[in-house]
Amino acid sequence: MRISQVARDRNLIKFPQPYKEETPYKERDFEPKVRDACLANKTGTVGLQVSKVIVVGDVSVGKTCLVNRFCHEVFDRDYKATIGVDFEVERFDVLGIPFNLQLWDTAGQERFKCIAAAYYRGAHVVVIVFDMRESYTLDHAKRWYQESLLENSHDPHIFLVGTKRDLCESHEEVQKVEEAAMEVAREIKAEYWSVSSLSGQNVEEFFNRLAGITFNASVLKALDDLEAKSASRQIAIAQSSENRIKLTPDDIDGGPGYKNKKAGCCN
Amino acid sequence: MSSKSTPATPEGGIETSQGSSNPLSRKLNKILETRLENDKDALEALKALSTFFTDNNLRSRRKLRGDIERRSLAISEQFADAFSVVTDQLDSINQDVEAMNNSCQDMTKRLELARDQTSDLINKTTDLQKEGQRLDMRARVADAFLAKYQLKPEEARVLRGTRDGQLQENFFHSLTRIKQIHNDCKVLLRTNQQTAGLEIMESMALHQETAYERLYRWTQGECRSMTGDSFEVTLLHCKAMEALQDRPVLFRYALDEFGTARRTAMVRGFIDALTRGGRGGTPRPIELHSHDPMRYVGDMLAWLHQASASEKEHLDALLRLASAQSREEEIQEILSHITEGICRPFKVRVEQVIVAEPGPVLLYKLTNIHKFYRYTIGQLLSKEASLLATLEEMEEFAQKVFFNALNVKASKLVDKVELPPADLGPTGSLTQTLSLLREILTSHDSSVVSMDTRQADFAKILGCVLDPLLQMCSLSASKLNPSDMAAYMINCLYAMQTTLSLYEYTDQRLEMLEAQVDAHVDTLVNEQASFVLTRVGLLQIYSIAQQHLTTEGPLSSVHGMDSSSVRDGINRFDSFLGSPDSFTMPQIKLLHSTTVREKIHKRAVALICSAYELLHTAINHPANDYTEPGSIVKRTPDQIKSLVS
Ligand SMILES: Nc1nc2c(ncn2[C@@H]2O[C@H](COP(=O)(O)OP(=O)(O)OP(=O)(O)O)[C@@H](O)[C@H]2O)c(=O)[nH]1
Ligand SMILES: [Mg+2]
Repeated sequence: MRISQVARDRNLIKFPQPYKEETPYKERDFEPKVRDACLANKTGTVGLQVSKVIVVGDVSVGKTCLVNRFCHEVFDRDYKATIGVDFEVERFDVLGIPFNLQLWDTAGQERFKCIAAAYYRGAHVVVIVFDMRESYTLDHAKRWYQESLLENSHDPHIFLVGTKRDLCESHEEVQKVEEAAMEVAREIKAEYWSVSSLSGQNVEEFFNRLAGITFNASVLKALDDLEAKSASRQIAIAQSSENRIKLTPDDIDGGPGYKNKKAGCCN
Repeated sequence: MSSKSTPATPEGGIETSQGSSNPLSRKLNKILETRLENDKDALEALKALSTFFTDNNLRSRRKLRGDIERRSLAISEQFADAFSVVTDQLDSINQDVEAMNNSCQDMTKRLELARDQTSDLINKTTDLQKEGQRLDMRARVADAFLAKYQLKPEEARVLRGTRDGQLQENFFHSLTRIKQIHNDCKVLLRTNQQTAGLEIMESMALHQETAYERLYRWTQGECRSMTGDSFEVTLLHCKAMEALQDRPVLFRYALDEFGTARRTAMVRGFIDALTRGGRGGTPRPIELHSHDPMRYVGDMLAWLHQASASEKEHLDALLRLASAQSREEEIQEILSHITEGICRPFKVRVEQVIVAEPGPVLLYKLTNIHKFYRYTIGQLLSKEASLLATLEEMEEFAQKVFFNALNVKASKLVDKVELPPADLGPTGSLTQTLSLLREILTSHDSSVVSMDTRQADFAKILGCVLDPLLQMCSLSASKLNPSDMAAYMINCLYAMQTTLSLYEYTDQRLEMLEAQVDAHVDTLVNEQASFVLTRVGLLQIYSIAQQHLTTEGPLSSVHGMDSSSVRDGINRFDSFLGSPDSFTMPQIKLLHSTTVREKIHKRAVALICSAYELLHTAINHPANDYTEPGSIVKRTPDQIKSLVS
C-alpha cells in the first residue's frame, strides 16, 4: 500500500480503444447518455465514481510491477513478494467527472490466497495477469477467473493481461503467445492485452481502456438506478443479485469439506 | 626831546621868514596865539633851562647862549658816544648775520647738492615700498593658499600619530582634510596653477597613503583584539571602517581580520559554554546534559542561534557608518566565515548523539529541532553559510538514522509474526508500534516546520510504519478461517484508524484503511447471514430455492423441499426472530468498533430478510405447488423486517 505521490492529471476525453479487434467489450465510445450526463453535469446527477479493480494471477507474473508502473512510473527488477494485498488509488478525470480507480494488487502466493480472496468481493473489474514467458501461468488463468467470480455474483469486467512482453525474443513468439491467450480470453469472455512493465509498453493504454470501460458502465448504472427510482419505486430485491447471500458449494452440502478447505487454504 | 625843544629854539625865526605875507604880523600873531601853558615842549625846555640858569645877570645872559651851545654840544657828544657803541654792536651784529647768511647759503647749496644726490634713492625707496606691499599681499594670499591647500602641523602630526600607534579622535578630521585638499586641487588643475595642483595632489596622495596605512594597521590591531566574549564596537571603530571604505582592499582585509578574530572567539565561547558554562557557572555547562540528547542538542542549537544573532549585531554595528554601498553581502560573507568555525565541534557532538541511536522518537525530535533551528538561524545567515549546511547535514543524518531505525523496527515486525490472540484483538507488537507512531506524530506537533514538509514527512513515516504493519497483520491472519480473519483484520485496521484519526494529513491513509475494512465487513456480513440460516436449518432450503429454475418443475417436489421440511425450517426461524442477538457470530462480538458491529448487524439482517422474502415468494408461487403456502410461511416479509429491525 503506497500513496501516489505524483498528482498527475489523468484526463480522459476520448474513449480508449481495445488492444485487439476481438473483444467482448464492444464499446468504442462513451454511451451518448453517459456523455450527455457528464458534459451537462450541472445538476450533480453524477457524483464521484469509484471502481474497484482486483489484480490476480500466479506468483511473480508481474502484478505489482504492472500496478507500480502505472501508478508511480517505476520499475523494480527485484522481486518482492506481495503480502496479502497492496492498495492504490488512482485519480482520474473522465469527461470532467472525478473518477477513482481502486487498485487491489493481491498476492499470488498460495498461503495468502485466503486473505487476498477477502478483497475479491464487489470488484467491478478483474485483471487476470499471466507471464508471457511461462505458459503454465496462462493455464492457471481460468482458475483465477473462477475463484474471483465466486465472490462476485454480478458480472465484473474481465481483462486478461500478458506481461513481460519485452522478454519475448521474436514477433513470432509474441504472436504465438497471443494466439493461445486469445483462446483463453474467448473462453472466459475477457479482453486481452500484452504489456511490458519494464518498458511501459501498453501499460498506460491498458489502464486507460480499463478506466474508460468501467467508468462508462458505472455512470450508466448510476443513471439507470436514478431512472428506475423515479419511474416507480419497484422493489426488485429478489432479483437483485447484490442482496443474495453468497454460498460456496460446501455451504450447501454442509459437509466437512467446507471447513477443511478454509483451514487448509492458507497453509 | 630835541624835537620838542625845537620851536623854543632861536631857529624859529626862519619859520617866520618863510610863510607870511606880513611875516612880522604872522610872527607876532603866532607868538600871541601861543599858549605856553599848553605847550609841553616849551614847558619842558623851560624846566631844563631852570636847572642850570640860576643867576639872571647880564653876564650870565651873554654867556647863556654859549652855555646852551656848550651844553648842546656836550649832549651831542654824549649822544655820539652812546651811539658809537650801538654802531659797533650793530656792526658786529651785521657781521654775524652776514656770517649766518653765508653759512646758510652754504648749507642750502649743500642741501641742494644732497637733494640732488638722494632723489634716486628716494625713488628706489618708493619702489621698494610698493614692492613690499605687493609682497605683503602675496604673502597673505600664500598663507590663505597654504591654509587651504596644506595640512596644519597639528593635523599632520595627528596623521602621523603617536608612537604607541593609538588613533586620535581628530585623525579622521585630518583625513577628511587631506581628501578635501586633494579634491580642491582639481580646481587648481583647471586654473594655470597646474603644477602646484599636481604637486599638492601628489603630496596629499602621499599623506593619504600613509594615513590609510596607519588607519589600517590600527584597525587591524583593534580587530585582532576583538576576541573576547564582551567587547565594544566604539565610534572610532565605526569611523575607521567608514574611512577605509575608500580603500576597498584594506577595508576587506580589516573585515577579514575581524571575521577571523570573531570566529576564534565564537569557537572558544562555544567550548566554554559546553564545558564551563556561563560566568559563575550559570548557565550550567551544556555538556552536563549530554545524557539527555534533546536537552543537550537543544541547548547547543539555542547557543548557536543566540551567538549567530549577536555576531550579526556586532558586524552591523561595526559597519553601521560604512554605508557607501549595501554591505549586506559582505556581512553575510563574514558571518558565514565567523560561524564556520563552530561547525566541526558542533557536528562532532551531534553525530555522537545520533550515532548512539537514542531511539526513533528522539531521533525524530532531533530531526525536527534541527529543522526548526535551520529555519530560525537561516533568517540570520545567507543560504551559503556552512553552519546552515551543517545543520542541514545533521538534520538529514538524524532523519536518515531515524528512518533507518524505523525501518529496522518495521522489518522486525514482518520477520517474526505473532499469532493473533484468542480475542482476535490487535497483537502486542501492533499496539506497541502504533503507540510508537503516535509518539512520533505527536512530537511533530511541537515542531515548527512548514506544512509542506510536514505533510511529506507524514506520508513517509506512515509509509514506513503502516505498510509493514499491514503486512504483519496479513501474515498473522493468514492462518485463520475467513470469519476470524475478517474480525481480526477489522480490529487491527480499526486500531490503526483510531491512531491515525488523531493526526492531520492522514486522510488518504484513513480512506484506504476504510476500504480494507469494508472488504472484511462484506465477508462478515455474508458469514453472519449464512450463520443464522445454518443455525435455523434453512440454509440448504434457501440454497435450493435460490438456484431452482421453474423449468425444473415444482420446488415442492425437490428432495428436502417438501412442505414439512420447509415448515420445520421456517418455524425454527422464529427462534431467531425471538432473540436475534443470540444468533450473532462470536467473531462479530469480538469486534472493537461498535460502529462496524452495528453496520454488520444491520446489513446481515437485511440479507436475511431478503432470503426470507425469496423463500416467501417461492413458496407462495403456484408453480411450486405447495399446499396451503400461508400455513408454511405465516409472516409476510414486511412483518419480518419490522420484527428484526
Ligand atoms: N523483464 C520484465 N520483468 C518483469 C516485468 N514485470 C515484472 N517483472 C519481473 O518479475 C518479477 C516479479 O514481479 P512482481 O510484480 O513482484 O510479481 P507479482 O505478480 O506481484 O508477485 P506476487 O506479489 O508474489 O504475487 C520481478 O523480478 C520483476 O522485475 C516485465 O514486464 N518485464
Ligand atoms: Mg506482488
